[in-house]
Amino acid sequence: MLKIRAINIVANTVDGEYSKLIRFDDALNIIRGDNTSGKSTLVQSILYGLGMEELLDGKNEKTMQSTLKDAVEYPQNELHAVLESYVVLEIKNTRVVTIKRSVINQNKSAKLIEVYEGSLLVDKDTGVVSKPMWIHDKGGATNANYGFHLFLAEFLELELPEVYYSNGDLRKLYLQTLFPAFIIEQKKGWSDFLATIPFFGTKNAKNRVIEFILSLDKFKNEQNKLRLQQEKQNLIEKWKILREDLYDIGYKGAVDIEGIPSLPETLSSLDFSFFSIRHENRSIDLNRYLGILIENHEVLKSEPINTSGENIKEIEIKIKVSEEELNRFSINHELLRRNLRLEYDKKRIYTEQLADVRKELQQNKDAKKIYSLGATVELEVAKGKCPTCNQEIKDSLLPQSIEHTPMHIDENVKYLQAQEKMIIAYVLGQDKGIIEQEKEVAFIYGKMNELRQSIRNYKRELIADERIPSVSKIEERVKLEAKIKFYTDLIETLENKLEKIKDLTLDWTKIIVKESKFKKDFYSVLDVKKLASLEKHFKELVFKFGYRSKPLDNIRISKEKYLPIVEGDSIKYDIRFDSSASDMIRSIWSYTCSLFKVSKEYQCNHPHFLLFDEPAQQSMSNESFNQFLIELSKYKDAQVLVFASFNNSDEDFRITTSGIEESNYINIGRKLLTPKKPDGIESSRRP
Amino acid sequence: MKITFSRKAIPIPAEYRPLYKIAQILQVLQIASRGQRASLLKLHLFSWAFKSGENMDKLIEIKNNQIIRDIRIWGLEPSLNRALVYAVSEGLCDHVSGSYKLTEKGENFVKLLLEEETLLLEQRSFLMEVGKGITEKLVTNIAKSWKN
Repeated sequence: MLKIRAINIVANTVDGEYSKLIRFDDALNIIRGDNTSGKSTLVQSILYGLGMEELLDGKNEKTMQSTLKDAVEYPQNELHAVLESYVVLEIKNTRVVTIKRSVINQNKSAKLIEVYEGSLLVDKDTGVVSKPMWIHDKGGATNANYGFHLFLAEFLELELPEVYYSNGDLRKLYLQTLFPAFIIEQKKGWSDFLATIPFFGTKNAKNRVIEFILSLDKFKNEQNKLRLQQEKQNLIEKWKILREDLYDIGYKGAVDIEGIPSLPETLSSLDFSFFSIRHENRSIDLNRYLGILIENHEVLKSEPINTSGENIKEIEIKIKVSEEELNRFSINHELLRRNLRLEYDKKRIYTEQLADVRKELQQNKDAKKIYSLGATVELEVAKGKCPTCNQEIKDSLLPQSIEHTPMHIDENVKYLQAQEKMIIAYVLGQDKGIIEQEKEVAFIYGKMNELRQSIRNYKRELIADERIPSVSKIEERVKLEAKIKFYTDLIETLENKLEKIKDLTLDWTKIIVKESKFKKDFYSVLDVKKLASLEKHFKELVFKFGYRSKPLDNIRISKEKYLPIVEGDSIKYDIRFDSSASDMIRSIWSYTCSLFKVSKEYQCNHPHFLLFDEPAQQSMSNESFNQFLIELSKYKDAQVLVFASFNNSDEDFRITTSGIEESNYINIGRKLLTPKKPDGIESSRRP
Repeated sequence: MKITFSRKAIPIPAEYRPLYKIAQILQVLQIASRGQRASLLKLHLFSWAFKSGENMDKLIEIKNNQIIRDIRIWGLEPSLNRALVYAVSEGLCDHVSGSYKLTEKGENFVKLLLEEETLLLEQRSFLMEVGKGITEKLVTNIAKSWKN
């Protein structure tokens, strides 16, 4: 809730102090002032005190009238130069604070706002400490201790949501975006609904404001959806990283990994993942491989280790077998390497071709451009005609006598693009094939090294002392043990990683489930009720105020924009079009009031404060204005400030204010700022 | 039963498009020729240069060192001649005693082309680097070296 208790506007001039102190009531306040009385200064000062001068299209003291910056005029035509000026605004919600902000001051910037935790104007508290705060300073809205707008939002108990800006940022809704929904100022406020929202790049600002004021679920739902999409992206990233890790680990042990999709899927598909490894020319499951290793180890263990001498015959056979195997591998290896070289060459050729095609493509695009430029200067050749005889010529410099039909340039471009695509596909295919073959070559090379090592060991043993235990046998065992340990550890690491990936699928499933819950239409039942209520109130009020441009039956509140529209048979459009100027004003009155009424009904976020600056625009009839004021006087729960000149006519004032239940009537008098009196309070109760 | 034959259109390299070649020629006249005028031989030399990066590099080397080294005879393409015929009849350049000179119409057109920053980029930067460095004298000397 926002209640303005009082305002004090002070200008220290060369001829002394000129000021005005005004107290406001909690409900309807009608402030009357002639057109030249300084009424605008009063409205501007209120906005200034609230840090909302951006609604006047400017910042800081720039938006203030010359009265507070240059010279005070009092009485008529007598000017007094301003040395210093400031605004004091006392406001109330659950507590009272007084705000002081300089307009002109040698030492204090207009960006500085002093906030006193107390009532300096009404109750004249003493000994109150002020806290300095900043406005329009980078970080003013977010700085926890010193940002004024942040303070004001907290003071008014408004939990501003995060919204998207056109540059993609997600940031809190600026408070200044909100105020045009209940403060209609004279210069631009009457041109449209929520017309004076300052530009911050907020996406769909009006929508966001109305959604917030009526605390529509739709907004929350849309935010949730966006957040969910972000979660999804994060999960996909994590998944990709884990998967790559898995592959890297597997690579170390020449393990192939199957069945892990490249993007997250639901749990069941992961049950078919497994690890495999090449063994004796077949791929077998990794666990089985480990089993085989362990079996072999058992066998080895059970065998006694013979001495070298006893083994000679066996070793000689082993050497022969190994050498034959090595030979076979060697030939294979050589063949594969030769093949691989050819594949590299092929790839290189394709890549060169690709470069050529791309160059040609660029030249053709250039040619196209040149032709279009040629056409703009009316070159005959650009139109495919001979410049001298005007006959058609083929669009090519090949001898005209040779029968040929050159492609049109566009066709040529398409042709080249198709070639480009084709070659790219070839190159990709080559890459794939090359990777496979490189793997194969590496594998065989590894095997060859193993064999060479074995052969060396056997040969060494042949010449070793016959009495010592066979080195090769021992080495065989040791190697096998090492392998078993390696693969046991590897399996454990792989399975751990796999578990983590499986955990991600659980999270993924949760997200997918949440996503499915978002129905296409984000409106909740409550939202529908609120919008229906908004429509009802709007139509009632707008008719009561005298709107007659369109039949009431055709008036609706738009579901997309939440603003009044006219709905015909098959068309609907903004109520602005086709309404008379004064009817548009009535619409703005009605809409602003309806927002408050619905928010009150459903306990939403409206601050129960309304300010209308010169609402009787466009030669408004006294009758309509009267109805408007009567309606406003009924709002006991909201503070309403109406500033009007009443056409500078006492008669008009009498007519338009008749029948009002109760209001605080304030007459500004001829000039707003008057020389300082000991007791500067000027307000009178209207009987 | 009626059978119709239609000739299949063939793709041709961009440099065989008349206006493309003309644009090339005009650029040579504008950027790399004194008085916007060049001999037929010089135009053929540049046409040869445009064919490949190596050729362009060779020409730059010659311009830098002003010595003729390792340059084989460059081809004289009929297609260039054809393009020149179009260019002249289009009024983009004049043919005056073996030389070709930019006309005002040609100069306007080439300036239009030059405004498009990304057009014929490789050729343009090459021409900028050569500047007016390949003089008619140099061209004649190179041609003389063929005789030996």
